[in-house]
Amino acid sequence: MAKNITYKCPTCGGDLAWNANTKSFKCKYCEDEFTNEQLEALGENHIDEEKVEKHRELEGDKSQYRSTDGTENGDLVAYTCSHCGAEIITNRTTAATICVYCQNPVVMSEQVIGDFSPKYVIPFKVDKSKVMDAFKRFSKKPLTPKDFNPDNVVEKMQGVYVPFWLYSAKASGMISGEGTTQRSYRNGNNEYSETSYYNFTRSGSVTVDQVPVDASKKIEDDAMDSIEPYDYRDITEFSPSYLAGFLAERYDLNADQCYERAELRIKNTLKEELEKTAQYDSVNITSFNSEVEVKSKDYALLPAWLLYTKYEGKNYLFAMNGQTGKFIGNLPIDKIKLTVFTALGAIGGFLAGFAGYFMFM
Amino acid sequence: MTVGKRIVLQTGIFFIFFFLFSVCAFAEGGGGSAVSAVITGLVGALIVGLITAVVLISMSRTKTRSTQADHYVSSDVSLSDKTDRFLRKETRRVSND
Repeated sequence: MAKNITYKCPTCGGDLAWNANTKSFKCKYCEDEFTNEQLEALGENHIDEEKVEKHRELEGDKSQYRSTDGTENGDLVAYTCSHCGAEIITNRTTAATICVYCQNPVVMSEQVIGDFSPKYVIPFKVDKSKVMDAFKRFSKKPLTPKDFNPDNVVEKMQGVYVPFWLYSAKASGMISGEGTTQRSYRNGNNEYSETSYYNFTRSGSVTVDQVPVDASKKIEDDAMDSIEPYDYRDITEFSPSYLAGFLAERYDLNADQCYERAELRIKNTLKEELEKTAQYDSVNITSFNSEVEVKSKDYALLPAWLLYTKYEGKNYLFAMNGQTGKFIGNLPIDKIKLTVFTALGAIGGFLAGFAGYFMFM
Repeated sequence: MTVGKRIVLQTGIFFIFFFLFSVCAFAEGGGGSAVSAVITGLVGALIVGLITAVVLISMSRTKTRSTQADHYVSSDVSLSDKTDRFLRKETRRVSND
């Protein structure tokens, strides 16, 4: 029978999920723990591509359906939970989720095989309790509205494996520009400033490894950029078991579609690195040309905690790097607080300016 | 209205308010240099007000688009060519004692 994957405890048959604290798979019932290698040895990670469950298209008006796992209500499809048999309605690009009825992790095997099979994964290192604390600390900013209570929304924070393309490349190019050096000296009673002007060129190359670009249309690019960098010392070969207990997305932007963003970053870095070698006091770049030779582009799933919430009708996304704990997001701003603080600053500035006039004039 | 426009508007309103209130108050008192002091104060108010607002807003906003890949550079830049050509020298006297 075609089915999705749920990971069973070899001891008691309960469901396993990844534990970020112990970096192992933990049974929800008997609390036994297993490494990925142990699961591999037991054949738990093997996906029989002939037997994977394909998604089912929803019948009738799709706008009448809501996702059962809290994923975006857009292009929805249906799966069957291998554990309890309930219908899971989720986004077309969801690769792993949690069954809302039996609370067991389910991996959609059709989303992690063939072209969608990731090469690498970085397992979660930050667990939900740390995320909650971090969000509460993060939201305590002077302009945060009083009624924006992190306790009310933090439970909605979801661990998500986000699809990324990792580009390794060699960038070569040349910059040219004008540089100046300055020195001061005394001659008799006079002090002089001397500026020397040079034309310079620098040609060279830099190698970059695994520049990440998120490959999901629905996840904000600037949010994923902001939680970087990831530490690749933890990157490992992909195994579907790592997805157990988390949501996961598969890519819906291919490597060519994402390349433009990677190329821009790589070229800017080359320019900056070449500029650093022009050791003048000031540098004005007048031309820059470059080319990028891509050595590899690998598909990887990287961990992030995401919270989508609404405040006064506006959508907010908060994100935390699931490996390093870096937290980012744009908090709502209390306009009254902003007005009061700006006014206090202006009054302080006025008094300082006014008093300063009489002190120094 | 964007947050940026709102700050400019609010600071502008404070500026006008202080200007009218303070200039009137000091003109009433017949102060000569007082008007200059008020203008200096207003400039201070504008600058500090703007800085306060920008700093507070930036504390609440941490999302930015990456334009660099400097975390992922695996080796130092390798230079294949390098030229530096002297153009000219300019000297100016800064002070005499």
